[in-house]
Amino acid sequence: MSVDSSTSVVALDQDKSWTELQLLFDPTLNNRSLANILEQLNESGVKSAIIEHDYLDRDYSEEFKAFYATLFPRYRRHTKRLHFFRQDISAQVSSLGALETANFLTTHSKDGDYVGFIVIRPVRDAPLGRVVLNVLQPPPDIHTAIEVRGDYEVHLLGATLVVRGAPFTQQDTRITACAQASIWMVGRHFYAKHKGPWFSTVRIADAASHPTDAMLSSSLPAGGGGLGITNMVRALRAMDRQPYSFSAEIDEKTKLPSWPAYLEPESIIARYVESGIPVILGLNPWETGQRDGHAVVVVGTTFQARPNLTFESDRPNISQYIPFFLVNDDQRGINLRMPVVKGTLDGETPYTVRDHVQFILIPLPEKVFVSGETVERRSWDILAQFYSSEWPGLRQDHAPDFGPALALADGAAIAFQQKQIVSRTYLTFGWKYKQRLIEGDISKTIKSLVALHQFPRMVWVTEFGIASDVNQLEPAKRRIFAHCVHDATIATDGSPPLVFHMPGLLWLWSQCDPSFYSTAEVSLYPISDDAHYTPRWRHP
Amino acid sequence: MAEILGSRITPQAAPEPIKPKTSDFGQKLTEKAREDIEKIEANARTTEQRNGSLILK
Repeated sequence: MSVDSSTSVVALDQDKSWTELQLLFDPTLNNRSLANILEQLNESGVKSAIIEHDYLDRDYSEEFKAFYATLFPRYRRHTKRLHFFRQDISAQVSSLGALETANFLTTHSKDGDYVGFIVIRPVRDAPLGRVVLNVLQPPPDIHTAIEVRGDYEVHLLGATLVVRGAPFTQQDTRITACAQASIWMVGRHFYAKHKGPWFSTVRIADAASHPTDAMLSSSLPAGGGGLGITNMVRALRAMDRQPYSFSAEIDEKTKLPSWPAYLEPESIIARYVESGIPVILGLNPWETGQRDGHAVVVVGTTFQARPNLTFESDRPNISQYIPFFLVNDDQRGINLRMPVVKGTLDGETPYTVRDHVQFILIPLPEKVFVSGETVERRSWDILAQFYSSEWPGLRQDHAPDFGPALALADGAAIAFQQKQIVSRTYLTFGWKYKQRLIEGDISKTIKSLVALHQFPRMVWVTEFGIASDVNQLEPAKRRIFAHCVHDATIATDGSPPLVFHMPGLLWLWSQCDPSFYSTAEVSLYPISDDAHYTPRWRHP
Repeated sequence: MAEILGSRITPQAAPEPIKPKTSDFGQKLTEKAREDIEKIEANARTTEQRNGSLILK
């Protein structure tokens, strides 16, 4: 029923309604992304939608100005924006007064009934202009989490609604390729979450093509036929990101990407995605006859409890528990489960991490000068040095000072010998690390010491847990026993960490008063009230 | 500290520090770790060489 001339509300309580909606925007039913998104909306329990029929979208307006307005065919200037709700609100929105409707919608947004929006462009083969939805549905026995998420505020019928999610767009093959679409998803997240610059796909295409190169002469318009990694790096730099990448070699026999043991691609992806950083994956072709690669954006992780806890790696990390990453693929849809290895049940993409990821492109913040891989290796080295040079003597001299933590420390030492320790490394703000630690369940003595410790803007945290304590589906039930914090804004080899916590012991490195060379002084505290504690995790 | 700046906040019930067994603990990497980190960082320098011909579409 019509609310006003340009806004309508529709109940989506039958499968027929969803089919009609899909046919309206994709009469040939060829659009995989649209089908995937509508299916996820249906499965997440959406019961109604409000449609703005003449929505002037900032992104599409840029595309219109740069391209569609100059064409002979007549394209509309306006888009349609669809808002989805988990309850059937059609009767209320059709009958309530203006103030009551606004209050009603605001209440539904706060209750979590509002699941987000889709902007439909008037471009038949690429209608999905801008999508933010909160519709993740995990399969049984797998924990899933969208790690790359921001709050997106929309204004509808006088109400302000908020959806938390990761942005998605579909490549419009007339003017862009998957590479631009993936960069747009990255840029829009940083805009929403960290007040980064606003970039449309038009501006991205422009940034990627200056200075121009031979790659851009392979299609019309320039860049419309795809981009190379160099073009992508240029666009990310223009967005104030600091792109950092890792690459595979091609195995001569299998023709598949080959990653060295010290750079497992799933470990690299996990470190950055669990830091809330969207990671771009450059994929090699996976079908016979496919010439070009493809780019997707990783927005989330999964976790599956392991039936066995033996690891091939000497320094296993959390990726050993990750069967899939969640990717936004502009040609297939959102939150797709991309298997780490082929043959994994419940996978949703034809490509896998191990068989198809050719490069991993990480849009780091500008102030980060050390990679997660380097930091995790350093943290393991400090752990090993602790057990070789520190622990035997400290245990002998100070056992009574450790109190009940002594048993915990002895258990961790045995786990280290048996290679049963698992690490997890992520980037966070210094203040946020401190806030989480103080609000968490770590020892009170550690809280009071760390509360007055100074941290730089960005830090890397490496957590250490015993494999069986981490092997819990619910993040809140996992436990760790130690962690190490490094300054992410300094790359000097000789820099000590900022914090190193082991059972019963806490090292703090503090900056000394200014001297000619920067130096740090160390303090070591015995922690008698130490115990296992909960690792960092994000509430759904 | 000048009186106007107040008194320093100190950690509540902080234990007395103890002496580390080695003075430079945490500040030096083992040779193996240094080699591993060099290999990690060398990979990032292969970006253009390994991916220069891949078009993402």
